[in-house]
Amino acid sequence: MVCATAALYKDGEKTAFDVDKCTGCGMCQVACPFGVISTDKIAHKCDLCSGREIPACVITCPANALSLDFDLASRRARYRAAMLVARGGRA
Amino acid sequence: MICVDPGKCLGCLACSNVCPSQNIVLLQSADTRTIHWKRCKEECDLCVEFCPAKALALVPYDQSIPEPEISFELAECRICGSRYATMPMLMRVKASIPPGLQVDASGMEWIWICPQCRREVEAESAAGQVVRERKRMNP
Repeated sequence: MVCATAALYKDGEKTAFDVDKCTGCGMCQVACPFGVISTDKIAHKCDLCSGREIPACVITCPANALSLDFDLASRRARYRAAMLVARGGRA
Repeated sequence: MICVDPGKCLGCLACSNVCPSQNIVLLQSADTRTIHWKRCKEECDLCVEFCPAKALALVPYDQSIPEPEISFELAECRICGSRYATMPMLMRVKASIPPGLQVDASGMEWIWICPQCRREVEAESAAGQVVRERKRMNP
């Protein structure tokens, strides 16, 4: 929404990043509630290892603590939205 | 050369990043970001094209026009106090995100928190959720 050049865009469930389109304005970094985007000359964002079926971090984690789980992510998002509504906010 | 609308400029540095001639200079101190547009003779208009706020325009070269310069005070993180963004950038984000999504489940307004602290707060809440879930499954 804040990316002026559509370098960040939705690709199915994940937010994809086209590095060639990024101008490094830093608006995405300011807009991300989770603080997962950083910027120097251009933005840096995890692309979940595009091209791999499973991200490398998930495969190599020695404790099997990582998983790629969009269901869990959306459950947590729903939980957050529900908490907000319960507290009188707007989701 | 470049003409800047100070009412529209967000202070985001997109123009400086795309300028092939390094004519747009950033002077940053601990709490202030100053952007200085040098008088330029180029016909290129990359900065105009990529300005997310449409704050720039090309005007004919004129030695008598002073070089534009704008200073922005950087907003202070409410948790750690670090300076992380210009106020117009934050206002722009505020305007483009529904108000309900600008607070998290604990009612915290994350817009006023720096990205590093947002990440730490989120990690803490995610870890708490995992611990609660494990307790629920293995009481």
